[in-house]
Amino acid sequence: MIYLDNSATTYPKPQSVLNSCASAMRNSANPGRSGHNMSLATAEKIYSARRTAADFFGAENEENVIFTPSCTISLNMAIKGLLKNGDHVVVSSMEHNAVMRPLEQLKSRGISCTKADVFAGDDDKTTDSFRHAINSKTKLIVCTHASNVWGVRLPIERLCALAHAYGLLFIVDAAQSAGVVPIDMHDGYDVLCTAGHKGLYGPMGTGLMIVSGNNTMQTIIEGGTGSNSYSSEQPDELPDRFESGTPNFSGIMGLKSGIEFVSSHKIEKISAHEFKLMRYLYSRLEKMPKIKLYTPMPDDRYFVPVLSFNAEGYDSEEAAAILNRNNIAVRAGLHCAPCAHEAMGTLDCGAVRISPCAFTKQNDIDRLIYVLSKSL
Amino acid sequence: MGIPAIMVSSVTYALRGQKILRSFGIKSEIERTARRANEKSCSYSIVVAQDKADEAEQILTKHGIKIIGRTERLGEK
Repeated sequence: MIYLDNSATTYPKPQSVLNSCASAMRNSANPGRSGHNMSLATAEKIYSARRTAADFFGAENEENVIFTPSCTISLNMAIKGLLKNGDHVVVSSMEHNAVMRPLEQLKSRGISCTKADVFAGDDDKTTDSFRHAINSKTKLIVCTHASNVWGVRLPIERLCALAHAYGLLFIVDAAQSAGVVPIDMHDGYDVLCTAGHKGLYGPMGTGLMIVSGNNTMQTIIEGGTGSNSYSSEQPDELPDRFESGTPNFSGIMGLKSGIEFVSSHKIEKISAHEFKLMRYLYSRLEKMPKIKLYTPMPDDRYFVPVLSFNAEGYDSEEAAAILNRNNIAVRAGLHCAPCAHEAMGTLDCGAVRISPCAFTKQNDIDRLIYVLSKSL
Repeated sequence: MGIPAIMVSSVTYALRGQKILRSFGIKSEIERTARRANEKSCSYSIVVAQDKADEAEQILTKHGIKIIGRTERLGEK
């Protein structure tokens, strides 16, 4: 099978990730609860994973790294933990439902949001668009770093600076960018949310929420942490405050190995490899009369290596099914991001998304092009 | 007097504290805190040699590790 659905989850996982997960399953006890050697050894390994993630994202300390089950959970925790009744939020026009659905649910608390248009390739215009969306009740800007549909990359460093200039908080959803674009918490993000199983090559069921040092976020999940147990109140200390329940040790160990895989292969090289493939694909697709492209040739300053298109006369799901019958795995439809499709005028038809990873080869793209040219 | 154990709030702080102390050449071990020492909490302690306890506490405090108190190594009483 040719796997080009890496924006959903990367496949295959590096061998080191598989080994780490298996080893963790064989040798672990509940960390941070007991005092015996196996429990302490497991806690030490999780601490080491925190260090790896903290170094990778420039977090202030290990405890600023919160392990979660997914980017969606991270975003829910951050958005719902920071907003109060009556607050206003600015989001981009490219958001995933992981941002939009929590905000929809918060409408019942009088929390409103405004979508700021994104202008691919024009960061000044995008930043201006966000500025105009801010009002006197705005508390927070939350936006994707890169669209999971169109690959359009937002100028998050500038948007974070804009937020802070207006006294607002800033959450970045890095689900599609972590592992292909360097991200540094020193740029001032209040909360960074990301998946562990996409560009970081960890297992599914892993995510990260990295918080700045001065975060005062409320919790949405409370429970046992192995600390301060006499009290019925959730502890204030990080990471315990946001990590109730037994952690996914095997997943966290796999995520640590995934991050190490990205670090050792260098983000810049992985990104350059994927961009080369996407530009090659783009150059071929734009010559095919039945293929409709929606974005310009991907430029690494303004995009991540994700490319979506439609084929004339075919529903996007139909096109994906034809590719599947030819052993090519892609994702079609709305990609859980109706906003992004609405912004591009594809809400009715969806699109076919191609997303490579470090293991994708040019032969894979050639096969895709061949099948598209023969079948559609 | 037993071997001193510096109480911190969680295993993460205990591990960070141990790492910090190691960088200062102070050996330590981590263990659960005796209930008698901190009956209102479950926590971890960093066990250090008797002659290093004061220095260790100062270093930990300076590096942002919140110290709950001091007790003695488990099994010493």
